Amino acid sequence: MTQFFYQSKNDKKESAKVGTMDFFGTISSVSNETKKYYQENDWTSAIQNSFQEWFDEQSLFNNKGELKILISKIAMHMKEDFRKDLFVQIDELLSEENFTEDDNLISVDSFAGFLMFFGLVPKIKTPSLTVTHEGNIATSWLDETVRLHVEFLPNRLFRTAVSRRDLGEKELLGHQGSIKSLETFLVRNQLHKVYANE
Amino acid sequence: MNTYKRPPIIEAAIEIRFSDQLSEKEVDKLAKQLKPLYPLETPEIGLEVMLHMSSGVTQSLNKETKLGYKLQKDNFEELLLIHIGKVAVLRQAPYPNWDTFLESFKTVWSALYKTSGFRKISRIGLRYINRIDVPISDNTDLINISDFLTIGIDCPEKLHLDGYQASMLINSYSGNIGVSIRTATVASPLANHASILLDQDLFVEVDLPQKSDGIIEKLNEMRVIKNDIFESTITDKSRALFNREIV
Repeated sequence: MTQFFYQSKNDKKESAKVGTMDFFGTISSVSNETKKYYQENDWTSAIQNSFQEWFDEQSLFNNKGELKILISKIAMHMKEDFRKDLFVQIDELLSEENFTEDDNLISVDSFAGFLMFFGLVPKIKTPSLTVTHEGNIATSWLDETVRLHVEFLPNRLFRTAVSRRDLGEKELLGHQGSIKSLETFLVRNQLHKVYANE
Repeated sequence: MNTYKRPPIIEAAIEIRFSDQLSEKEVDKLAKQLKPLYPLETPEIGLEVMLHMSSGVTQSLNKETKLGYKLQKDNFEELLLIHIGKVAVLRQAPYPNWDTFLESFKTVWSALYKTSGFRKISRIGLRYINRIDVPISDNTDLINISDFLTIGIDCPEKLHLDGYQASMLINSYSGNIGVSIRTATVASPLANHASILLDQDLFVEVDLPQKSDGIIEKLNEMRVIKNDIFESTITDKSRALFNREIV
């Protein structure tokens, strides 16, 4: 038997309900008043939802912490504004309000790859960050004509797509390789101005 | 005292250990008092596992003990550990400056006095973990450690080390202040860089000041020694790296 404590999240004035439930979700050992409450409300789902909410909040909190601490490890090489912009974007991507069941936590391995790239190109412009279905961090930079999209894959790999905005987002170039070769690839294709300050 | 454009400090910590442990209630009270400053709270749980073996039957008993709390600021830059046996303030990079860091400790220490009163201490610790990030070209991943540090290990030239770590202990470096220094190669978080760790851990375990003023004075003294040791263990090449403009 497992004892649960449940407080209705939607109605703070609702008194706390205490009861016991076996592993199959059958309620026993509760007062008649409480039993009536559970009969009128979906007790099992309420617990599951409550646990899920707690689990999601905790996971988002942990993920934010992991990423911000990773950034702090190289903070001495960054301009303060750049670091703050990254923090704001992480907070947005992992905010409880915006996070839906279709969203993914951000892979720490992938994010570390993005920060490694910063080591190659310290003059990098602040990118727009998004998260892929696999939980990889993806960065985008735009200029008047070009959209440069780089997804940082685990194991220090990247996948990039370059499209022309003035040609209806027509993809011009795609490439996959190791992060150490990313800058060489971008410079060779004259994309330097899109993602780096002069 | 040198100040650098890119200080290599990745973590700084002030830790005070108690002779008499705090009660669980005092730990809770202190955590509650400091929560407005450090809103992100994680309980720290210790797990004791006991294995009983008799007649070929193994039984395991697990006991969870609440050690205290890890509290963090919203931005995860500063962390506070409140345990039954110690309090510690930890600062991640970017390191602000000594006065700001010490002020954080003073706030915590004053809250401890308000919630628990006088507490006899058994150790004062001041730790700075530095990482020297050395840019390397695509063609070579070899660096000469002695170009960046004046301490480390000596080995024949023909040996190209893949990594090393060394630690040194000086129990009485200056008066009652002891120092432990650790240096090692670490995986660099930046592409095309090699990184060297320089970890300074200063401690006082004898003739400890017990009053707040005395503890702060001792921390200030330890900080001067920490800076002196740091400057004597790095080379001008390292200083040049720390003084590069941030672009």
